[in-house]
Amino acid sequence: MIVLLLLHLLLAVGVLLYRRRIGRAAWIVSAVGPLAVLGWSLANLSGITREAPYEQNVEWVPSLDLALQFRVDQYSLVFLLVVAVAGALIFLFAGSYFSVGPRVATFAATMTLFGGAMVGLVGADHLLALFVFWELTTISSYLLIGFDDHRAQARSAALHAAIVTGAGGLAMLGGFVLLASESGSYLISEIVAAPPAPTPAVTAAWILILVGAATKSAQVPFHSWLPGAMAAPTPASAFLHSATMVKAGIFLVGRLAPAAVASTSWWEIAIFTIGFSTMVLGGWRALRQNDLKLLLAFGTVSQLGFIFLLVGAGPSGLLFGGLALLIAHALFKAALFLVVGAIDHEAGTRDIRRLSGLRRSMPALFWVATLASMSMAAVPLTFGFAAKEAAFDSLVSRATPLVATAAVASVLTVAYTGRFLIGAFGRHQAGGEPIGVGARTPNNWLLWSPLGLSAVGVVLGLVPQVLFELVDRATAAVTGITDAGKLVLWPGWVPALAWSMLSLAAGAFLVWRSELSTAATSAVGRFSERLPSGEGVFRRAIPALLTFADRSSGLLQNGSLPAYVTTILLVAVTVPTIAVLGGLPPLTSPRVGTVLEWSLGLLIAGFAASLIFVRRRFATVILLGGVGYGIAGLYGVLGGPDLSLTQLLVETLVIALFAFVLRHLPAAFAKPATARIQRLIVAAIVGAFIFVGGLVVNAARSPGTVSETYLADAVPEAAGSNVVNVILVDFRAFDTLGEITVLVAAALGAAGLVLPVIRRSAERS
Amino acid sequence: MSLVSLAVVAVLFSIGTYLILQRALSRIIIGLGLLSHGANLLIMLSGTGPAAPPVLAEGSVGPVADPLPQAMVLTAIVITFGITAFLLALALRSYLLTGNDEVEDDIEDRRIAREQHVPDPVPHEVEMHEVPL
Amino acid sequence: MNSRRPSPILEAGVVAVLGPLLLFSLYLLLAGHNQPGGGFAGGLVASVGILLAWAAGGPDGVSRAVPVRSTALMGTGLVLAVLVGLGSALPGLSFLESGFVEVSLPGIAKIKLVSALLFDVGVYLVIIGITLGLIVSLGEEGAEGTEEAK
Repeated sequence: MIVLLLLHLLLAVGVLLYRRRIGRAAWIVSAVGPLAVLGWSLANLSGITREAPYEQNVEWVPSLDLALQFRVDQYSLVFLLVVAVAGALIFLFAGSYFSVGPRVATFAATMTLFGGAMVGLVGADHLLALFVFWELTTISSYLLIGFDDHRAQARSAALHAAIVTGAGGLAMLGGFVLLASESGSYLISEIVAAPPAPTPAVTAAWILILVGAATKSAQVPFHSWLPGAMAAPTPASAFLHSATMVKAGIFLVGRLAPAAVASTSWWEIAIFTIGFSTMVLGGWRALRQNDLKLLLAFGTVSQLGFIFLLVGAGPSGLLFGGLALLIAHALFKAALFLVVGAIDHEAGTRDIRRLSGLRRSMPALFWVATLASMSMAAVPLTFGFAAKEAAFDSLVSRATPLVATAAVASVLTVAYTGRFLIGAFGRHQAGGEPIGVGARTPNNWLLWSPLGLSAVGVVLGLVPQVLFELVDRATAAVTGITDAGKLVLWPGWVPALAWSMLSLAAGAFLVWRSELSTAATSAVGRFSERLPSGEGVFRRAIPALLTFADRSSGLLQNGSLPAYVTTILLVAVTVPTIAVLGGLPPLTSPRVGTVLEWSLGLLIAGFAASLIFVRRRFATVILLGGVGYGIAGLYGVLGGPDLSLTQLLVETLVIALFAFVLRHLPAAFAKPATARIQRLIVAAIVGAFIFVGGLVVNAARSPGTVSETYLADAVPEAAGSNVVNVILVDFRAFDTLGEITVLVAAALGAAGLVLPVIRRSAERS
Repeated sequence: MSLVSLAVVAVLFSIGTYLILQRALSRIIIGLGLLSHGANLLIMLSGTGPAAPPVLAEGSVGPVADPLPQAMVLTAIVITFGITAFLLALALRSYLLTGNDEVEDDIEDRRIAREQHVPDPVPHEVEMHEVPL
Repeated sequence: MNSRRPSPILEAGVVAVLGPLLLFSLYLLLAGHNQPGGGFAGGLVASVGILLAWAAGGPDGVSRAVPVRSTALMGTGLVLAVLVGLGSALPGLSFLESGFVEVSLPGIAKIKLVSALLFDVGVYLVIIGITLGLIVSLGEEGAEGTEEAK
């Protein structure tokens, strides 16, 4: 596994390094990545069983308990295969789609990185490693979507995708950390094996994880980034939106759903709500698009909603249909994206209103598109049909409203499929300038790649049972349920068939009488224009966020040092205060103190208090010195002759240094201390906090202190009886070494600060 | 720990806080001096009360003062000396160069705080070819 | 106004005091391991002596009393402390590991004593060095006219 990841990295770096010379070979080299994944997956296909998944453990940061732990079971294998097959064909397609140049090679390298991140994501067993790969896909998708960086549109679409999926990823990280702290493990396999009990923290964790998965898989209400991401070059769109990026969220919910269902009560309802609303909304919006690629994008949103709810619903047979549909979707959606790419490449537009006569000029491409579209619409004899039958079948056994909703959404699917096919290859609409009459079917990978994908779909449609074992074992790996569904050419006369036939017929009717659907969409469209759309919310949210950041930093970073210090002090006081609000810890009961202590204390307090009022600079220094001498006296009382002596000497030197400096300054402060009341309040708060804090802290010192060791060891180990000195020069000599180094730095710094300035001002005068 | 010593610590912290909230750099330095006195004394208070110095003479018996806080405080006193000297140099330089030792407000920060940047709205997304109404 | 006449009488008095002060500081340094004192206190006492020299003769008085550069003192002290630290780290390790504490206690004890004292000498030199440096730089004459100049 780690070898596969390193291979991707190596390929990407290699292509990057030789981007000027590599030319078209960039794509061939890049295709090695998915091909290697394909080979690996096939080689391990039979070796990986439910009891013995593939496992690999690579130490990463042992001190953080962070390891690259990979665990590929049959469920992951489905995703790996999808990524590999779609990836390889898309890479080859891209070789014909793009011109040659260093920027294209960079693009190929980014695609490779993206593919590698996806492989890591699917294989990771450690939640944090999964998060890292997750964010790698976010970052590389940002680069891919924003490839046309001279277009503001592409840049903003890339940013949109990155912000939405990145924010979702951060939410997910929070969820991961909460989940791990509640369940005691970062390993997905262990969490699923022993789900945490439903506490509020666990509930929050699942909500956050759901948000992360929903943003990545473009679920309502986070779907709006995906249509925008169509600004990416078509091969990237095909890779990201059919097989990889959007499937990451689905992978995650499917993987964690058993644990989520076990530790929440609402998971299934949430998944169904999100999935069905995404499904209907996506299908609806797809009906109203004139850009072929946007039509496919909204279609993708719709399909993702369906797969999301099937895969994420938890330990049930739904997963079987979901995985089958996922495979089908990857095949036909990648093929259709590539068809659109080929049309765009040859005809120069993807606008339904202008494309005309492509059926005659590009017959081969037309048939490829027809085959893939049939699979998308779930026409019998295609793999899409077999997969949808399996999905409907499992929904029928669940509840009738579920399958009814799915059928309604399928009507929309059929309708927009028809719109796609007729729009792309039929006659242009009145009013538009026809384009594409002279386009010819390309005879290179622009055709072969979608052809390959469609062909696989057709073959699988005729013999769907070959995939039964793969899907069944994957379902069992997650849910433990075997034979949850079947993949067959003809299901027989079952209720699910009735539902799918009904939706197919209704959809076909809508295609036939397309003016009906147009009228309906227009009517509803007039109404829905006024509703907030996902795009609109996002566009308003970002400036609002920036304004908020502006205001808050203007408030906090106002340029005034006293304000900063006040903020810092108040935070420093508030946070520990909140911590002890629940109950004050035990307090020391202090001694009253001896007469000597009282007199020294009063002296110090008196000197200190006068500092507030005195305006002559030198007087303040003398008062500070008085405080220092008083403190030295207190040290003496407390049994510290070393301290006493040192404090006395230091205080003397400090006074002298102050005197040196004050020679240059005016004798009195220019202004009295300002804004007295506020500052006095802050000062009083800090003083009170320290008083209580002192009582708390001193009660917290437990016996058996290190001091006892020092006292016991001083004479035998260090041959010194002044224990303070022994600590300084023997036990903690390295600390002292650090200290004198700091002192040297301070002295040199002080000299460097003043000497040149003093000499210069001396010369001037 | 005696009540009076703790009270002295609290007073030193209060007045030190008050002084570092001023603008004159030399006042701030004095405030820092008071704060470090307070902190050092607080550390000392975590040791024993009045006691014999922690010097182990031959045949001496009885409790001695806790040496650990003393070693820490000794280090802190000397470090504070170094920092005070450095700050004094800073204040002197500031005075010789600008003619006062006040800490002025950061003009750039003030300007940023005053101006409200209303950010440009994010450019329009991919043009949506919706069906004309 | 920059040139302040050193007072010969004061300077003579300071020179007379400086000797005993230096002796006292050396005593604190050497006795520090067993009595109150040590490198810090000793160095600070010597520094007070430097201060006195400044009071008597200004910067020139200081340079006459201490004919060494402050950086040389700091450097020597730091290097000494580092060397002692490095030197005692390895023997200290083997000493703890070999475990013939009781047998060779007098010998070990003597070595330890010497190394710790050398370290303290390093501290002592650094302290004198930094105070000398600070007194020389902050006590630099000649800027008293600033206010008038402005």
